[in-house]
Amino acid sequence: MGLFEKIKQVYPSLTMEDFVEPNQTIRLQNDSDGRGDYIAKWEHPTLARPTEEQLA
Amino acid sequence: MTTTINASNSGGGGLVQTADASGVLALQTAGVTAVTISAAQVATFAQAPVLPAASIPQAALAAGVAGNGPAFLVSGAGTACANGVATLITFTSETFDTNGCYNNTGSTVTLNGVSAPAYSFAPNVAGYYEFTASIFSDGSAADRPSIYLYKSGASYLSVFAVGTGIAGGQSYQISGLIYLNGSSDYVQCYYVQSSGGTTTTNASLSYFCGSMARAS
Repeated sequence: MGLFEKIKQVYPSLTMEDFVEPNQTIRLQNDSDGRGDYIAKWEHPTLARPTEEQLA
Repeated sequence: MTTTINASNSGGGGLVQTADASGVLALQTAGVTAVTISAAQVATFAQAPVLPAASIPQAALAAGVAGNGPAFLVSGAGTACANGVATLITFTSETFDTNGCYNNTGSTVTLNGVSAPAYSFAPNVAGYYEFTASIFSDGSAADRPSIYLYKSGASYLSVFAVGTGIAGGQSYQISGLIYLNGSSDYVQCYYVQSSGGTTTTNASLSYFCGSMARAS
C-alpha cells in the first residue's frame, strides 16, 4: 500500500482534491533517492498531520 | 615596417617614437606591442581587451549573435510514479549539456563549484533561464496529472490538467522562465498523477531542457 492509500485509510474524508492542484493542501513527494515517499507539505485546515504510527 | 609609440621603461624611460611611411601604427609598452593598427584602421590586440563590467550594450552586438550561456537537453530512464506522489523524474541521458551544469546521477555532486542535487540543472552563471519539460506517462489513464519545476527544492512553476488522460498514455508539458543565481540555485522536474495506481514515465518520450535566456 502506498503512502497516499495509507493516509486515505487514516482520513477517509480526504479526497484527491486535497492532494492535487489547484487547491492542494497536502503534497506527497519522492525525491528518487531511494528513501521513498514522504509528506512534503501538510497544510490541511482541519486534519492533523498523521503520525508515523498511524502510517505504519 | 611600422610606426611605433612606446612607453619605454628602459634607461630613463619615457615616450619613444619611431616613424616610417607604412601607415601601420604599433602602440607599445615596455617595448612590447600591445595594439597594432593597420593602414586600413584594423586594430589587432596582442591580448584580449579587458572592458568594464556591463559596458557592452545589447545594441552593440552584431545581428544574429546569441549568448553562450549554459544549455542542456536530457531524457532517459522511466520513473515509477506512485498514485498522488510528486516524484522527481530521473532524466539520466544527456543529449547535450554545454557547460556541464546538469547532474544526471541520483546523488548530489559538485559541478563547476555549484552543488547539484540528483537530476538537477545547477548553472554556474547567474541569469534568467527558459525551461521546458514534457512528460509522457505510460499505462493507465492519469487523472489530474501535474508537472512541477522545483527551484532549489521548492515548487516554483506548475501545470495541471483536470480530467482523465487518454488510456495508454499521454504527454504533458510545462515551460517557464526562472531566475537562477549561478551559485546555489538549481531546478528539478517532478511529476504527479492520480490514476489510482503507479504509472511510469516513458524514457524515450519524456525530456527536460533549458537554456539561458538573459544574463542577470
